Amino acid sequence: MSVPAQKTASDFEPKIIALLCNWCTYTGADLAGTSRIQYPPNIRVIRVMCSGSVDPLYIIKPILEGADGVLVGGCHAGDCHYVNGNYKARRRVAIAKNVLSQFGIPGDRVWFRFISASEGKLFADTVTKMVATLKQLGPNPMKAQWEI
Amino acid sequence: MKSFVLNTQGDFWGTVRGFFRGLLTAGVVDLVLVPQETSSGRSVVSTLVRDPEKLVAPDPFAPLVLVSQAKVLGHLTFKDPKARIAAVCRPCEVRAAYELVKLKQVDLSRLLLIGVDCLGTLDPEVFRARLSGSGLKDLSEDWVASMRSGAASGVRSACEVCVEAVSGNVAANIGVVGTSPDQLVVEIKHELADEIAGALGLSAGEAGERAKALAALRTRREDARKTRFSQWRQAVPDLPALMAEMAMCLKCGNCRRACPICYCKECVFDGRIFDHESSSYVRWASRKGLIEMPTDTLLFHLTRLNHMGTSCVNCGMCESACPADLPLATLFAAASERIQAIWNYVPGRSLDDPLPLSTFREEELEPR
Repeated sequence: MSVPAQKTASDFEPKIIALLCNWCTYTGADLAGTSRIQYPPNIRVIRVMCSGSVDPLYIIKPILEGADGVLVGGCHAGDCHYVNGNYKARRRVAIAKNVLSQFGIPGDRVWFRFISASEGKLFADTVTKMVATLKQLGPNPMKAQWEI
Repeated sequence: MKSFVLNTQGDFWGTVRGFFRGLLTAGVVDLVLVPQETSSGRSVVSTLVRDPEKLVAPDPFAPLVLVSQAKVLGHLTFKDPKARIAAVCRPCEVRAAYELVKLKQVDLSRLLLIGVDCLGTLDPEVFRARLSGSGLKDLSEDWVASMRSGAASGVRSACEVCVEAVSGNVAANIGVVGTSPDQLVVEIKHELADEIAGALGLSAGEAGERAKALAALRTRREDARKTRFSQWRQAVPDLPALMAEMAMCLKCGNCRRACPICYCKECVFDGRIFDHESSSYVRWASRKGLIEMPTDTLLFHLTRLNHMGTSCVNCGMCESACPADLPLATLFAAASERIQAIWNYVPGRSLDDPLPLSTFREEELEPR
């Protein structure tokens, strides 16, 4: 109301839903924590057994509800605990991003990254970068919508 | 492919009946799955016929499809039917059947697909309005006459922008586009061509105007398709605009039930996942100030788009089934065109193209 737009934008802290694979990225996030690597506390982590088990439903729902970004983390190419779930996830995420971008939600709100269990630093860097990108994009306009 | 022209000698429907009866009596197949006029003479439904004598009024051209034949093929071949079946399908139904084969819901090994020329069908309420007074016979008679010149009026919105009037993926096709009155074209590209032709006493021939009429129709429809999609994309550029379009959604799920591709016996939206905790609704309403009840309308449509968009054959059965007349056929056709473009996948084209979501490449889609 009386808050200047400038101030609102700089105060904006994006909210990110992170769907992380149990075997790689979740463990990588754990490593970032145990190694005391600092990264922005903007993510809400949901552990999944495989990035390939992430139905596009769980990418679209947070975006519709007003989350500013969704991060899906899986194992590196060839490292999937279930042989090829991460490759399948890559295709599913590509479709979800395609659909969302057709309706004005930029692909930058949905990230899919391969991060292994030993890459705590990469995990922290990824979250840092994602938060910066989302700050530039601004809040998800769906926050204000109730007819979803 | 071998083409045969049948002279109907004033009895078009008798010739059509003769063709299907011939398939049975000559032993080409054991059963025929073909639309037939109902006993009331006011509708047409798909029938599975064993007894040639019961093939009284086959009408594969009548402009009405109540259930996609692809769904019926799923029921028929869920287990080995232990009989050979000739199944009459429109081009969109053939495309859907091909997708269902890849989704392991249809088995073609016992089926002989018989295509039929299709310039579109009518929504049930339009069909009923056109029937008033006269019966199905008159309607079909007029319909076939206009099909001969490549014209069809008042067809469903999906049909208005459909470019495939004849399927290339069938064993045989029966058609009338580009023929003169008293003609029925039968095109057979199956190894059984000679057997079928011999059994039915067909003689080779081609309808002179057919190729030209089909090409002209295709050009017309391609233009209509481009215009429709670009108008849609302009009118619905973002989620609020899509919300406005979907505002009348009853959440009945008819679109999903009518969709030949949505085969899941236990759809995620029929399960308990969306039976949220009572306190969750209160929390969400507290956060936003208000929420729509029941929730997740848009999520349903967007999720369905994600799940079956790669295989959407643009049959438009979703829109025909929608009691609220939502523009589902356009939404799904326009959006799935972009999804399929990621891998240049054309649903229903070939059994050799793997489903995009059942395969992957080592290196692709980078940067993610």
